[in-house]
Amino acid sequence: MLQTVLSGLESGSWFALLGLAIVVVMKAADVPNFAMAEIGLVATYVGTVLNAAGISFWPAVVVTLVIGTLLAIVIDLALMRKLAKHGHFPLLLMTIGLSLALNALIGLIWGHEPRSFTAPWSGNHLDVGGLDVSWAQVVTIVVGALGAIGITAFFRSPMGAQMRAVAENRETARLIGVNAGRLSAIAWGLGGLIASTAVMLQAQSTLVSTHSAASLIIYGFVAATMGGFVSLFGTFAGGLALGIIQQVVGTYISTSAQFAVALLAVFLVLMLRPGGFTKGMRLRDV
Amino acid sequence: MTPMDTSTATPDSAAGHPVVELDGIRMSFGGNVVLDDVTLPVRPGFTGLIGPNGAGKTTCLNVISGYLRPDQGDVRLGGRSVVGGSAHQIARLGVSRTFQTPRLIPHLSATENVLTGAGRHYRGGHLSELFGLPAARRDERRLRGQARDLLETFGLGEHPGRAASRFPIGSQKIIEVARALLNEPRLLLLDEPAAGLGAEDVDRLVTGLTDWAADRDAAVLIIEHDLELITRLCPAVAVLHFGRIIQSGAPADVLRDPVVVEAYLGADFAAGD
Repeated sequence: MLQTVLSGLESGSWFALLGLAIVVVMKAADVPNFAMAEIGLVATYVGTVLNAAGISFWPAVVVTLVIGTLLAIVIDLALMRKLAKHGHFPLLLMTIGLSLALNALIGLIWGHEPRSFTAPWSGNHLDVGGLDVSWAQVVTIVVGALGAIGITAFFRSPMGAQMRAVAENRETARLIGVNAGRLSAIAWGLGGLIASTAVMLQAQSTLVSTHSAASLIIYGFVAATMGGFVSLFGTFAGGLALGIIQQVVGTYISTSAQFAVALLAVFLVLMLRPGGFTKGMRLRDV
Repeated sequence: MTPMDTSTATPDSAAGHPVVELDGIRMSFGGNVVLDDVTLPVRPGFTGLIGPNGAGKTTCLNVISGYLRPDQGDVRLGGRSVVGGSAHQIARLGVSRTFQTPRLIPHLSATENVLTGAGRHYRGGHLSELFGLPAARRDERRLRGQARDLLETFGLGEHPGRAASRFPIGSQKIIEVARALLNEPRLLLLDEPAAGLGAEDVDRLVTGLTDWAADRDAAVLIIEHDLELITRLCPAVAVLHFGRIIQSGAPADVLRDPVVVEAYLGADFAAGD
Protein backbone atom coordinates (compact mmCIF):
# COMPACT_ATOMS: atom_id res chain seq x y z
CA MET A 1 0.00 0.00 0.00
CA LEU A 2 2.75 2.49 0.97
CA GLN A 3 4.52 1.59 -2.23
CA THR A 4 1.37 2.49 -4.15
CA VAL A 5 0.99 5.80 -2.33
CA LEU A 6 4.61 6.61 -3.13
CA SER A 7 4.08 6.02 -6.85
CA GLY A 8 0.90 8.03 -6.49
CA LEU A 9 2.80 10.96 -5.03
CA GLU A 10 5.24 10.76 -7.89
CA SER A 11 2.68 10.81 -10.69
CA GLY A 12 0.61 13.20 -8.59
CA SER A 13 3.52 15.65 -8.67
CA TRP A 14 3.47 15.60 -12.47
CA PHE A 15 -0.27 16.27 -12.49
CA ALA A 16 0.07 18.93 -9.83
CA LEU A 17 2.81 20.75 -11.72
CA LEU A 18 0.88 20.61 -14.97
CA GLY A 19 -2.22 21.81 -13.13
CA LEU A 20 -0.17 24.70 -11.74
CA ALA A 21 1.07 25.57 -15.23
CA ILE A 22 -2.56 25.72 -16.38
CA VAL A 23 -3.64 27.82 -13.40
CA VAL A 24 -0.75 30.28 -13.79
CA VAL A 25 -1.82 31.08 -17.35
CA MET A 26 -5.45 31.09 -16.25
CA LYS A 27 -4.69 33.63 -13.54
CA ALA A 28 -2.93 36.07 -15.82
CA ALA A 29 -4.50 35.54 -19.21
CA ASP A 30 -7.80 33.92 -18.24
CA VAL A 31 -7.46 31.13 -20.80
CA PRO A 32 -7.75 27.43 -19.99
CA ASN A 33 -4.67 26.23 -21.81
CA PHE A 34 -5.08 22.81 -23.43
CA ALA A 35 -1.72 23.05 -25.15
CA MET A 36 0.31 22.99 -21.93
CA ALA A 37 1.25 19.30 -21.97
CA GLU A 38 2.35 19.48 -25.60
CA ILE A 39 4.47 22.56 -24.92
CA GLY A 40 6.21 20.56 -22.21
CA LEU A 41 6.47 17.56 -24.51
CA VAL A 42 8.11 19.50 -27.33
CA ALA A 43 10.68 20.82 -24.87
CA THR A 44 11.26 17.38 -23.37
CA TYR A 45 11.70 15.79 -26.81
CA VAL A 46 14.40 18.32 -27.62
CA GLY A 47 15.98 17.33 -24.31
CA THR A 48 15.83 13.61 -25.13
CA VAL A 49 17.43 14.26 -28.51
CA LEU A 50 20.29 16.12 -26.84
CA ASN A 51 20.48 13.39 -24.23
CA ALA A 52 20.69 10.71 -26.91
CA ALA A 53 23.28 12.73 -28.80
CA GLY A 54 25.57 12.48 -25.79
CA ILE A 55 25.10 15.98 -24.38
CA SER A 56 25.44 15.73 -20.64
CA PHE A 57 22.40 15.84 -18.43
CA TRP A 58 22.36 19.31 -16.87
CA PRO A 59 22.97 21.31 -20.05
CA ALA A 60 20.18 19.26 -21.65
CA VAL A 61 17.88 20.13 -18.75
CA VAL A 62 18.63 23.82 -19.08
CA VAL A 63 17.99 23.76 -22.84
CA THR A 64 14.73 21.87 -22.28
CA LEU A 65 13.46 24.42 -19.78
CA VAL A 66 14.51 27.36 -21.92
CA ILE A 67 12.76 25.88 -24.95
CA GLY A 68 9.57 25.24 -22.98
CA THR A 69 9.59 28.80 -21.65
CA LEU A 70 10.32 30.42 -25.01
CA LEU A 71 7.79 28.29 -26.89
CA ALA A 72 5.04 29.38 -24.51
CA ILE A 73 6.05 33.05 -24.79
CA VAL A 74 6.12 32.86 -28.57
CA ILE A 75 2.65 31.30 -28.60
CA ASP A 76 1.37 34.13 -26.44
CA LEU A 77 3.00 36.87 -28.52
CA ALA A 78 2.35 35.44 -31.97
CA LEU A 79 -1.07 33.85 -31.57
CA MET A 80 -2.95 34.56 -28.36
CA ARG A 81 -2.30 38.30 -28.28
CA LYS A 82 -3.96 38.81 -31.63
CA LEU A 83 -7.02 36.81 -30.65
CA ALA A 84 -7.45 38.35 -27.22
CA LYS A 85 -9.78 41.10 -28.37
CA HIS A 86 -12.27 38.56 -29.73
CA GLY A 87 -13.04 37.14 -26.32
CA HIS A 88 -12.31 33.92 -24.51
CA PHE A 89 -13.86 31.33 -26.75
CA PRO A 90 -11.50 31.80 -29.72
CA LEU A 91 -8.57 31.67 -27.28
CA LEU A 92 -9.79 28.39 -25.86
CA LEU A 93 -10.22 26.92 -29.34
CA MET A 94 -6.76 28.15 -30.23
CA THR A 95 -5.19 26.23 -27.35
CA ILE A 96 -7.04 23.06 -28.35
CA GLY A 97 -5.94 23.51 -31.95
CA LEU A 98 -2.39 24.15 -30.80
CA SER A 99 -2.31 21.00 -28.70
CA LEU A 100 -3.35 18.94 -31.74
CA ALA A 101 -0.92 20.75 -34.01
CA LEU A 102 2.04 20.43 -31.64
CA ASN A 103 1.20 16.78 -31.04
CA ALA A 104 1.16 16.11 -34.79
CA LEU A 105 4.36 18.09 -35.22
CA ILE A 106 6.12 15.97 -32.59
CA GLY A 107 4.91 12.82 -34.35
CA LEU A 108 6.14 14.15 -37.67
CA ILE A 109 9.59 15.08 -36.43
CA TRP A 110 10.32 12.43 -33.83
CA GLY A 111 7.77 9.68 -34.50
CA HIS A 112 5.38 8.14 -32.03
CA GLU A 113 7.69 5.77 -30.17
CA PRO A 114 7.83 6.50 -26.46
CA ARG A 115 11.04 8.05 -25.19
CA SER A 116 12.70 8.68 -21.89
CA PHE A 117 14.99 11.37 -20.59
CA THR A 118 17.67 9.48 -18.70
CA ALA A 119 18.89 11.22 -15.58
CA PRO A 120 22.15 10.34 -13.78
CA TRP A 121 20.02 8.86 -10.99
CA SER A 122 17.68 6.92 -13.28
CA GLY A 123 17.44 3.32 -12.15
CA ASN A 124 18.97 4.01 -8.70
CA HIS A 125 16.90 2.97 -5.75
CA LEU A 126 16.89 3.44 -2.03
CA ASP A 127 15.63 1.01 0.54
CA VAL A 128 13.73 2.90 3.19
CA GLY A 129 12.53 0.40 5.79
CA GLY A 130 11.53 -2.16 3.20
CA LEU A 131 10.04 0.48 0.93
CA ASP A 132 11.58 0.62 -2.51
CA VAL A 133 12.14 4.29 -3.30
CA SER A 134 13.63 5.34 -6.63
CA TRP A 135 15.71 8.48 -6.83
CA ALA A 136 13.49 9.64 -9.65
CA GLN A 137 10.57 9.59 -7.23
CA VAL A 138 12.47 11.59 -4.65
CA VAL A 139 13.53 14.16 -7.22
CA THR A 140 10.03 14.47 -8.65
CA ILE A 141 8.30 14.90 -5.32
CA VAL A 142 10.86 17.42 -4.06
CA VAL A 143 10.87 19.44 -7.29
CA GLY A 144 7.06 19.37 -7.37
CA ALA A 145 6.78 20.68 -3.82
CA LEU A 146 9.45 23.35 -4.34
CA GLY A 147 7.75 24.43 -7.57
CA ALA A 148 4.42 24.78 -5.82
CA ILE A 149 5.96 26.82 -2.99
CA GLY A 150 7.81 29.05 -5.45
CA ILE A 151 4.71 29.76 -7.53
CA THR A 152 2.62 30.48 -4.46
CA ALA A 153 5.22 32.93 -3.18
CA PHE A 154 5.33 34.55 -6.59
CA PHE A 155 1.58 35.13 -6.66
CA ARG A 156 1.72 36.80 -3.26
CA SER A 157 3.94 39.50 -4.70
CA PRO A 158 2.44 42.70 -6.08
CA MET A 159 3.19 41.32 -9.55
CA GLY A 160 0.91 38.39 -8.77
CA ALA A 161 -1.87 40.82 -7.90
CA GLN A 162 -1.23 42.70 -11.13
CA MET A 163 -1.51 39.45 -13.07
CA ARG A 164 -4.90 38.92 -11.52
CA ALA A 165 -5.82 42.43 -12.63
CA VAL A 166 -4.90 41.52 -16.21
CA ALA A 167 -7.01 38.36 -16.06
CA GLU A 168 -9.91 40.26 -14.56
CA ASN A 169 -9.98 42.95 -17.23
CA ARG A 170 -7.07 43.65 -19.52
CA GLU A 171 -8.26 47.16 -20.41
CA THR A 172 -8.78 48.21 -16.81
CA ALA A 173 -5.40 46.77 -15.89
CA ARG A 174 -3.76 48.93 -18.55
CA LEU A 175 -5.61 52.01 -17.32
CA ILE A 176 -4.29 51.55 -13.81
CA GLY A 177 -0.77 51.27 -15.20
CA VAL A 178 -0.24 47.53 -15.50
CA ASN A 179 1.84 46.45 -18.48
CA ALA A 180 -0.66 43.78 -19.47
CA GLY A 181 1.30 42.49 -22.44
CA ARG A 182 4.48 41.92 -20.50
CA LEU A 183 2.69 40.27 -17.60
CA SER A 184 0.79 37.87 -19.81
CA ALA A 185 4.03 36.92 -21.57
CA ILE A 186 5.65 36.33 -18.17
CA ALA A 187 2.73 34.14 -17.12
CA TRP A 188 2.89 32.11 -20.31
CA GLY A 189 6.65 31.74 -19.95
CA LEU A 190 6.25 30.62 -16.35
CA GLY A 191 3.55 28.16 -17.43
CA GLY A 192 5.81 26.77 -20.16
CA LEU A 193 8.66 26.43 -17.67
CA ILE A 194 6.51 24.50 -15.20
CA ALA A 195 4.95 22.33 -17.90
CA SER A 196 8.34 21.34 -19.32
CA THR A 197 9.52 20.57 -15.81
CA ALA A 198 6.48 18.31 -15.31
CA VAL A 199 6.95 16.41 -18.57
CA MET A 200 10.70 16.14 -18.08
CA LEU A 201 10.18 14.66 -14.60
CA GLN A 202 7.71 12.23 -16.08
CA ALA A 203 10.22 11.26 -18.79
CA GLN A 204 13.01 10.52 -16.32
CA SER A 205 11.06 7.78 -14.61
CA THR A 206 8.73 6.51 -17.32
CA LEU A 207 8.25 6.79 -21.06
CA VAL A 208 6.58 9.77 -22.67
CA SER A 209 5.06 9.96 -26.13
CA THR A 210 2.49 11.82 -28.15
CA HIS A 211 -0.09 9.62 -26.39
CA SER A 212 1.03 10.37 -22.86
CA ALA A 213 0.53 14.12 -23.42
CA ALA A 214 -3.19 13.67 -23.91
CA SER A 215 -3.69 11.92 -20.59
CA LEU A 216 -1.32 14.30 -18.82
CA ILE A 217 -3.32 17.34 -19.89
CA ILE A 218 -6.54 15.71 -18.69
CA TYR A 219 -4.99 14.95 -15.31
CA GLY A 220 -3.59 18.47 -15.17
CA PHE A 221 -7.06 19.85 -15.78
CA VAL A 222 -8.51 17.59 -13.12
CA ALA A 223 -5.98 19.02 -10.67
CA ALA A 224 -6.78 22.57 -11.78
CA THR A 225 -10.49 21.89 -11.43
CA MET A 226 -9.96 20.68 -7.89
CA GLY A 227 -8.40 24.06 -7.16
CA GLY A 228 -11.31 25.83 -8.84
CA PHE A 229 -8.80 27.11 -11.44
CA VAL A 230 -7.80 29.71 -8.89
CA SER A 231 -6.27 28.17 -5.82
CA LEU A 232 -2.66 27.14 -6.24
CA PHE A 233 -2.74 25.12 -3.05
CA GLY A 234 -5.97 23.40 -4.12
CA THR A 235 -4.44 22.56 -7.49
CA PHE A 236 -1.30 21.14 -5.93
CA ALA A 237 -3.18 19.08 -3.36
CA GLY A 238 -5.65 18.01 -6.04
CA GLY A 239 -2.84 16.78 -8.26
CA LEU A 240 -1.28 14.73 -5.46
CA ALA A 241 -4.64 13.27 -4.42
CA LEU A 242 -5.38 12.40 -8.02
CA GLY A 243 -2.02 10.65 -8.37
CA ILE A 244 -2.67 8.54 -5.29
CA ILE A 245 -6.25 7.70 -6.28
CA GLN A 246 -5.08 6.77 -9.74
CA GLN A 247 -2.33 4.46 -8.46
CA VAL A 248 -4.61 2.84 -5.92
CA VAL A 249 -7.20 2.20 -8.61
CA GLY A 250 -4.51 0.87 -10.94
CA THR A 251 -3.13 -1.49 -8.30
CA TYR A 252 -6.29 -2.76 -6.66
CA ILE A 253 -8.91 -2.49 -9.42
CA SER A 254 -7.52 -2.17 -12.91
CA THR A 255 -5.21 0.13 -14.83
CA SER A 256 -7.90 0.53 -17.45
CA ALA A 257 -10.18 2.10 -14.82
CA GLN A 258 -7.64 4.84 -13.97
CA PHE A 259 -8.82 7.32 -16.56
CA ALA A 260 -12.48 6.80 -15.78
CA VAL A 261 -11.84 7.37 -12.08
CA ALA A 262 -9.98 10.60 -12.84
CA LEU A 263 -12.93 11.87 -14.85
CA LEU A 264 -15.29 10.74 -12.12
CA ALA A 265 -13.23 12.84 -9.70
CA VAL A 266 -13.75 15.94 -11.89
CA PHE A 267 -17.41 15.15 -12.12
CA LEU A 268 -17.75 14.87 -8.36
CA VAL A 269 -15.77 18.05 -7.71
CA LEU A 270 -17.82 20.00 -10.21
CA MET A 271 -21.08 18.65 -8.81
CA LEU A 272 -20.28 19.07 -5.15
CA ARG A 273 -17.87 21.97 -5.04
CA PRO A 274 -17.90 23.88 -8.31
CA GLY A 275 -15.50 26.44 -6.86
CA GLY A 276 -12.83 23.83 -6.15
CA PHE A 277 -12.52 21.70 -3.07
CA THR A 278 -10.51 24.22 -1.11
CA LYS A 279 -13.09 26.93 -1.68
CA GLY A 280 -14.48 28.27 1.53
CA MET A 281 -11.50 27.08 3.51
CA ARG A 282 -9.79 30.03 5.10
CA LEU A 283 -7.02 30.15 2.58
CA ARG A 284 -5.59 33.23 1.06
CA ASP A 285 -6.80 33.48 -2.45
CA VAL A 286 -3.55 33.86 -4.27
CA MET B 1 5.00 51.25 -28.96
CA THR B 2 5.45 54.96 -29.00
CA PRO B 3 8.73 56.52 -28.09
CA MET B 4 7.69 57.70 -24.66
CA ASP B 5 10.31 57.70 -22.01
CA THR B 6 9.01 57.46 -18.48
CA SER B 7 12.28 58.42 -16.86
CA THR B 8 12.55 61.94 -18.20
CA ALA B 9 9.05 62.90 -17.14
CA THR B 10 9.39 65.70 -14.64
CA PRO B 11 6.50 67.69 -13.22
CA ASP B 12 6.07 70.94 -15.05
CA SER B 13 3.70 72.43 -12.61
CA ALA B 14 5.76 74.51 -10.23
CA ALA B 15 4.62 77.82 -11.67
CA GLY B 16 1.03 76.75 -12.03
CA HIS B 17 1.57 75.55 -15.57
CA PRO B 18 -1.07 73.06 -16.60
CA VAL B 19 -0.20 69.50 -15.63
CA VAL B 20 -2.33 68.34 -18.49
CA GLU B 21 -3.82 70.27 -21.36
CA LEU B 22 -6.58 69.17 -23.64
CA ASP B 23 -6.21 71.13 -26.84
CA GLY B 24 -9.01 71.17 -29.41
CA ILE B 25 -10.10 67.61 -28.71
CA ARG B 26 -12.70 66.20 -31.04
CA MET B 27 -14.03 62.73 -30.44
CA SER B 28 -16.86 61.00 -32.24
CA PHE B 29 -18.34 57.55 -32.24
CA GLY B 30 -19.75 56.53 -35.60
CA GLY B 31 -20.60 60.09 -36.65
CA ASN B 32 -21.93 60.98 -33.22
CA VAL B 33 -19.79 63.86 -31.95
CA VAL B 34 -19.17 63.43 -28.23
CA LEU B 35 -16.43 65.96 -27.70
CA ASP B 36 -16.24 69.03 -29.89
CA ASP B 37 -13.18 71.25 -29.75
CA VAL B 38 -12.61 70.73 -26.04
CA THR B 39 -9.75 72.82 -24.71
CA LEU B 40 -9.09 72.45 -21.01
CA PRO B 41 -5.95 73.18 -19.03
CA VAL B 42 -5.78 71.37 -15.70
CA ARG B 43 -3.48 73.07 -13.22
CA PRO B 44 -2.10 71.77 -9.93
CA GLY B 45 -4.79 71.49 -7.29
CA PHE B 46 -8.39 70.48 -7.73
CA THR B 47 -10.39 71.11 -10.89
CA GLY B 48 -14.03 70.14 -11.21
CA LEU B 49 -15.55 68.91 -14.45
CA ILE B 50 -19.32 69.09 -14.32
CA GLY B 51 -22.17 68.80 -16.75
CA PRO B 52 -25.33 66.78 -17.37
CA ASN B 53 -25.22 63.05 -18.04
CA GLY B 54 -23.99 62.31 -21.52
CA ALA B 55 -22.12 65.61 -21.80
CA GLY B 56 -18.84 63.77 -22.49
CA LYS B 57 -17.17 64.03 -19.08
CA THR B 58 -16.08 60.40 -18.82
CA THR B 59 -15.03 60.52 -22.47
CA CYS B 60 -12.64 63.32 -21.52
CA LEU B 61 -11.05 61.10 -18.88
CA ASN B 62 -10.88 58.23 -21.36
CA VAL B 63 -9.08 60.45 -23.85
CA ILE B 64 -6.58 61.69 -21.25
CA SER B 65 -5.86 58.21 -19.92
CA GLY B 66 -5.25 56.83 -23.40
CA TYR B 67 -8.25 54.52 -23.50
CA LEU B 68 -9.64 56.49 -26.43
CA ARG B 69 -7.71 58.16 -29.18
CA PRO B 70 -9.21 61.50 -30.21
CA ASP B 71 -10.10 62.20 -33.85
CA GLN B 72 -8.46 65.59 -33.57
CA GLY B 73 -6.57 67.64 -31.05
CA ASP B 74 -3.80 67.02 -28.62
CA VAL B 75 -3.35 65.95 -25.02
CA ARG B 76 -0.19 67.34 -23.48
CA LEU B 77 1.10 66.02 -20.20
CA GLY B 78 3.65 68.37 -18.73
CA GLY B 79 3.95 69.94 -22.16
CA ARG B 80 4.51 66.70 -24.06
CA SER B 81 1.94 65.08 -26.33
CA VAL B 82 0.71 61.70 -25.12
CA VAL B 83 -1.86 61.07 -27.85
CA GLY B 84 -1.34 57.59 -29.27
CA GLY B 85 0.51 56.34 -26.20
CA SER B 86 -0.88 53.15 -24.74
CA ALA B 87 -2.91 53.36 -21.56
CA HIS B 88 -0.30 51.74 -19.35
CA GLN B 89 2.46 54.00 -20.63
CA ILE B 90 0.36 57.05 -19.85
CA ALA B 91 -0.38 55.66 -16.39
CA ARG B 92 3.34 55.21 -15.87
CA LEU B 93 3.89 58.85 -16.75
CA GLY B 94 1.88 59.59 -13.65
CA VAL B 95 -1.77 59.62 -14.71
CA SER B 96 -4.02 57.63 -12.38
CA ARG B 97 -7.74 57.26 -12.47
CA THR B 98 -10.77 55.74 -10.86
CA PHE B 99 -13.93 54.49 -12.54
CA GLN B 100 -17.57 55.41 -12.20
CA THR B 101 -18.36 51.81 -11.28
CA PRO B 102 -15.51 50.42 -9.21
CA ARG B 103 -13.30 47.99 -11.09
CA LEU B 104 -11.49 45.99 -8.47
CA ILE B 105 -10.43 42.36 -8.45
CA PRO B 106 -13.26 40.93 -6.37
CA HIS B 107 -11.41 38.02 -4.75
CA LEU B 108 -8.28 39.88 -3.82
CA SER B 109 -7.92 41.77 -0.57
CA ALA B 110 -8.19 45.53 -0.29
CA THR B 111 -4.41 45.81 0.15
CA GLU B 112 -3.65 43.66 -2.84
CA ASN B 113 -6.06 45.65 -4.97
CA VAL B 114 -4.30 48.83 -3.94
CA LEU B 115 -0.98 47.19 -4.82
CA THR B 116 -2.08 46.59 -8.41
CA GLY B 117 -1.80 50.37 -8.83
CA ALA B 118 1.91 50.39 -8.04
CA GLY B 119 3.02 50.06 -11.65
CA ARG B 120 4.97 53.26 -11.87
CA HIS B 121 6.93 52.77 -8.71
CA TYR B 122 8.66 49.51 -9.15
CA ARG B 123 12.29 50.25 -9.14
CA GLY B 124 13.54 46.73 -9.66
CA GLY B 125 11.32 45.77 -12.58
CA HIS B 126 9.39 42.59 -13.26
CA LEU B 127 12.31 40.26 -13.77
CA SER B 128 13.99 41.05 -10.49
CA GLU B 129 10.62 40.51 -8.85
CA LEU B 130 10.20 37.19 -10.62
CA PHE B 131 13.43 35.96 -9.10
CA GLY B 132 12.71 37.51 -5.72
CA LEU B 133 15.84 39.65 -5.74
CA PRO B 134 16.51 41.84 -2.70
CA ALA B 135 15.61 45.03 -4.58
CA ALA B 136 12.21 43.55 -5.40
CA ARG B 137 11.67 42.53 -1.79
CA ARG B 138 12.47 46.05 -0.61
CA ASP B 139 10.08 47.45 -3.21
CA GLU B 140 7.39 45.10 -2.06
CA ARG B 141 7.79 45.95 1.62
CA ARG B 142 7.74 49.65 0.89
CA LEU B 143 4.69 49.39 -1.37
CA ARG B 144 2.76 47.20 1.06
CA GLY B 145 3.42 49.74 3.79
CA GLN B 146 2.24 52.57 1.56
CA ALA B 147 -0.86 50.63 0.54
CA ARG B 148 -1.80 50.06 4.19
CA ASP B 149 -1.14 53.72 5.03
CA LEU B 150 -3.37 54.84 2.20
CA LEU B 151 -6.20 52.58 3.31
CA GLU B 152 -5.76 53.95 6.81
CA THR B 153 -5.87 57.55 5.56
CA PHE B 154 -9.24 56.89 3.97
CA GLY B 155 -10.63 55.09 7.01
CA LEU B 156 -10.38 51.58 5.60
CA GLY B 157 -7.44 50.47 7.70
CA GLU B 158 -9.50 48.05 9.78
CA HIS B 159 -9.89 45.25 7.26
CA PRO B 160 -6.94 45.41 4.88
CA GLY B 161 -7.18 41.67 4.26
CA ARG B 162 -10.87 41.51 3.44
CA ALA B 163 -11.81 40.61 -0.13
CA ALA B 164 -12.70 43.69 -2.18
CA SER B 165 -16.10 42.29 -3.16
CA ARG B 166 -17.13 42.20 0.50
CA PHE B 167 -16.85 45.97 0.88
CA PRO B 168 -19.86 48.18 0.14
CA ILE B 169 -19.72 50.04 -3.18
CA GLY B 170 -18.77 53.30 -1.47
CA SER B 171 -15.74 51.70 0.17
CA GLN B 172 -14.80 50.01 -3.10
CA LYS B 173 -14.68 53.44 -4.70
CA ILE B 174 -12.37 54.60 -1.94
CA ILE B 175 -10.13 51.55 -2.44
CA GLU B 176 -9.90 52.64 -6.08
CA VAL B 177 -8.78 56.09 -4.99
CA ALA B 178 -6.11 54.50 -2.79
CA ARG B 179 -5.02 52.32 -5.72
CA ALA B 180 -4.74 55.41 -7.91
CA LEU B 181 -2.72 57.27 -5.27
CA LEU B 182 -0.21 54.44 -4.82
CA ASN B 183 0.99 55.33 -8.31
CA GLU B 184 1.98 58.76 -6.91
CA PRO B 185 0.21 60.44 -9.80
CA ARG B 186 0.88 63.95 -10.93
CA LEU B 187 -2.54 63.86 -12.52
CA LEU B 188 -5.38 62.13 -10.72
CA LEU B 189 -8.65 61.60 -12.61
CA LEU B 190 -11.67 60.85 -10.44
CA ASP B 191 -14.91 59.77 -12.07
CA GLU B 192 -17.77 60.55 -9.68
CA PRO B 193 -15.85 59.54 -6.56
CA ALA B 194 -18.64 60.56 -4.18
CA ALA B 195 -21.56 58.86 -5.94
CA GLY B 196 -22.94 56.18 -3.65
CA LEU B 197 -20.97 57.37 -0.63
CA GLY B 198 -22.52 58.25 2.70
CA ALA B 199 -21.88 61.70 4.17
CA GLU B 200 -19.22 60.32 6.51
CA ASP B 201 -17.39 58.60 3.65
CA VAL B 202 -17.53 61.78 1.58
CA ASP B 203 -15.91 63.69 4.43
CA ARG B 204 -13.17 61.10 4.72
CA LEU B 205 -12.63 61.19 0.99
CA VAL B 206 -12.36 64.97 0.96
CA THR B 207 -10.00 65.05 3.95
CA GLY B 208 -7.88 62.24 2.54
CA LEU B 209 -7.61 63.89 -0.85
CA THR B 210 -6.83 67.36 0.46
CA ASP B 211 -4.20 65.94 2.84
CA TRP B 212 -2.67 64.02 0.01
CA ALA B 213 -2.65 67.00 -2.34
CA ALA B 214 -1.43 69.49 0.26
CA ASP B 215 2.27 68.75 0.00
CA ARG B 216 2.34 67.87 -3.68
CA ASP B 217 1.79 69.88 -6.80
CA ALA B 218 -0.29 67.23 -8.44
CA ALA B 219 -3.45 68.06 -10.33
CA VAL B 220 -6.77 66.39 -9.58
CA LEU B 221 -9.57 66.45 -12.13
CA ILE B 222 -12.90 65.47 -10.61
CA ILE B 223 -16.11 64.60 -12.40
CA GLU B 224 -18.88 64.94 -9.89
CA HIS B 225 -22.59 65.67 -9.70
CA ASP B 226 -22.40 66.67 -6.06
CA LEU B 227 -21.97 70.41 -6.54
CA GLU B 228 -21.45 71.03 -2.88
CA LEU B 229 -18.43 68.76 -2.97
CA ILE B 230 -17.14 70.52 -6.07
CA THR B 231 -17.52 73.90 -4.40
CA ARG B 232 -15.74 72.63 -1.28
CA LEU B 233 -12.78 71.13 -3.13
CA CYS B 234 -12.25 72.91 -6.40
CA PRO B 235 -11.04 76.47 -6.92
CA ALA B 236 -11.65 75.93 -10.63
CA VAL B 237 -14.49 74.26 -12.45
CA ALA B 238 -15.38 73.68 -16.10
CA VAL B 239 -18.82 72.91 -17.45
CA LEU B 240 -19.23 70.46 -20.29
CA HIS B 241 -22.47 70.48 -22.24
CA PHE B 242 -23.12 68.44 -25.37
CA GLY B 243 -19.40 67.89 -25.80
CA ARG B 244 -18.41 71.55 -25.49
CA ILE B 245 -16.91 73.50 -22.63
CA ILE B 246 -19.49 76.22 -22.13
CA GLN B 247 -18.02 77.91 -19.08
CA SER B 248 -15.08 77.71 -16.73
CA GLY B 249 -13.74 79.62 -13.76
CA ALA B 250 -14.32 79.82 -10.03
CA PRO B 251 -17.30 77.68 -8.95
CA ALA B 252 -19.12 80.59 -7.33
CA ASP B 253 -19.13 82.51 -10.62
CA VAL B 254 -19.65 79.54 -12.90
CA LEU B 255 -22.59 78.13 -11.00
CA ARG B 256 -24.33 81.51 -11.05
CA ASP B 257 -23.85 81.97 -14.79
CA PRO B 258 -27.31 81.96 -16.41
CA VAL B 259 -26.06 79.90 -19.35
CA VAL B 260 -24.83 77.20 -16.98
CA VAL B 261 -27.96 77.29 -14.87
CA GLU B 262 -30.07 77.02 -17.99
CA ALA B 263 -28.00 74.31 -19.70
CA TYR B 264 -27.05 72.11 -16.85
CA LEU B 265 -28.84 72.75 -13.66
CA GLY B 266 -32.26 73.47 -15.11
CA ALA B 267 -35.16 75.12 -13.39
CA ASP B 268 -35.05 72.74 -10.39
CA PHE B 269 -31.76 74.05 -9.15
CA ALA B 270 -32.74 77.66 -9.58
CA ALA B 271 -35.96 77.01 -7.71
CA GLY B 272 -34.40 74.87 -4.99
CA ASP B 273 -31.48 77.17 -4.28
